[in-house]
Amino acid sequence: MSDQTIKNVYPDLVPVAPDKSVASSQPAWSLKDAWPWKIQLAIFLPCLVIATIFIFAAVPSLVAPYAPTDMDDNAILAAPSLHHLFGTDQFGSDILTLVIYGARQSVLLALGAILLGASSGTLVGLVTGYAGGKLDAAVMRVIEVWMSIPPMLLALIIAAALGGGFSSTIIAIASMIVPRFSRIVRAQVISIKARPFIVAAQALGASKTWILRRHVLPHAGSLLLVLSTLWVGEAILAGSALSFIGLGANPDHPDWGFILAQGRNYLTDAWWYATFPGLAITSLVVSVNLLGDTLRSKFDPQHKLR
Amino acid sequence: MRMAFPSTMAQRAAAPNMEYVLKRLASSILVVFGAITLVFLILDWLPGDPAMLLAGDGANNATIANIQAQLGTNRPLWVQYGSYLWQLAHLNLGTSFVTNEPVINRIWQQFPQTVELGACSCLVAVLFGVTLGIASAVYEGRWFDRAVQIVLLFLTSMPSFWIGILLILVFAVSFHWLPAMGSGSFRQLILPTACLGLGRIGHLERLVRSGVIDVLHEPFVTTLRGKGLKEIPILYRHVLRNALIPVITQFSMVIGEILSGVVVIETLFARQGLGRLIVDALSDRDIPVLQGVVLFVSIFYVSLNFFIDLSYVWIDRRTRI
Repeated sequence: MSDQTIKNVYPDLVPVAPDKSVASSQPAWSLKDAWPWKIQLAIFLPCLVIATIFIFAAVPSLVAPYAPTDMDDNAILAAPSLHHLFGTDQFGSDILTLVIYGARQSVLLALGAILLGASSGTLVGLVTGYAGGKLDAAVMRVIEVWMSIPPMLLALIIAAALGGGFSSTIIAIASMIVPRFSRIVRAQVISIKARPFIVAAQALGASKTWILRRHVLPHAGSLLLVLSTLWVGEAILAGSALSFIGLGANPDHPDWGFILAQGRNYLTDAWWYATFPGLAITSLVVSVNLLGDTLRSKFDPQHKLR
Repeated sequence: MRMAFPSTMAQRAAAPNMEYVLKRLASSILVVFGAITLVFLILDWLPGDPAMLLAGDGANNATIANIQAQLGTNRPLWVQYGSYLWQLAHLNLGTSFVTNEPVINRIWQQFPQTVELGACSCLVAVLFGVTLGIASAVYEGRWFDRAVQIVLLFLTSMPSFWIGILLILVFAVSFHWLPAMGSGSFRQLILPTACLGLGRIGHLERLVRSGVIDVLHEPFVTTLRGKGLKEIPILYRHVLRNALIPVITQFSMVIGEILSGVVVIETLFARQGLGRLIVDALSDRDIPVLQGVVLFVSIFYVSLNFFIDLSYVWIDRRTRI
């Protein structure tokens, strides 16, 4: 049965924009006692930081003060100064430049991992939650096994088994996201499945994929948004940890974790070497998490996630 | 009325639900079996033939084939899997490709250091997480609560190894108060514990805070206040009991995070331990050690979860049917 047929026969049964009906019954912000400028700040500041880092990632050559291959022989491990705001490394390269050029790897890594992890996790959660029965039980058992290995260890052996490097790091981090994501989505789908409009759509003979696409997915949408934002931070941290151990990026395209790992060898001589890449990671993750929290307090006031 | 509860509790505690315990045990064993299979399959993909690595550069094919036969890596996958299971059933995790020691011995050597670090970090996380969570729930929306939230937002968003590097820079490099490397003494334990524990406070604090806030808003608390009870007895006697029990289930998350964090932290602080063993085994392509440690940690994790679940059932009467 097509969208149009159902709309013509039973106009009430087709929620045009399902989320609005839910949202309008609640205040726009659950933090209504807080001052509005604080909330604005909590959205504006992280967005500013994220936008800056995205610009670094997109066009590093326009922003960076030097080229990443520039090496200043007169300034080896030089302390931060006006010429080198973040100092220089053991080859005399400018660390600010390295950090700006490293943004692309770190951002792509996190985005790739979250896209892969969230989409496969959502798919698994939707299908198992809606199908129920033996398929659900079997997949949940697999997920239980999957989660029995501490996340970082699993990511580590998967990254190693796939040979290290960029794409295997993405798969490794996605492997941490998939089981946790699909569990939460599944729970949400099960609770949506029991609602009357789904039963009505089933009674009208709508196909499973149609119900999933038109009814279940839109209702889980805000949850997916919040959950993805919250996981971006974890993905960045996991990616930098893998690079730090030496499994992530290759030395030709150093990401922040890699620069940090290099700086670790010069802790006594050059505090700036490891400090600034870490500051970059932290500012990105803080912004993403702050944004995630703000989104969560809007879409999930009762803090049902996690 | 109040006297009636302890006696029923005692009766129920005397007769724990054996059926539940057995079911949970069976599923834990199944999960461990699944984990063995999963780890075996993943590590089978590991690139680089260990025989070639062991033989070194310029070895001829006969030598490599010889080493392969010795290691048993030339057999079909399912035969290797079968023999691996058979060895595991005899508590034999194989021998290290590199040092020729039994893997189980290497694990037992390193395990205490990891437990020491993990338990101390867990203690730090739980202690700070629970107290800060309760305090910021009580002062919900006030400056104390906000300050705690902001500090913890930063702590959770910092990579644990960066916290470690900052701690080393301040306490070891600048002031020479604490050693930055090695393991064995208490002083060497302080920085890694701080670094691993501090990052884990955030999630736990959040759960405790929202749990306590939820209970504080329940009607029975209003009733108690209406009866004229003081805030402090209400908090300790009634609210915390209800709010903290669900937090127990979250311990498994904290332990999982710590077991994950150990890998990076032990490498950073050049400590002995299972995490370090994994990183070394990875760079040496020492598959038996890698397999053994990952399995060992997973079994440890699954059994901890088993006991956490049991204690939850034992403490929370509502889950007993």
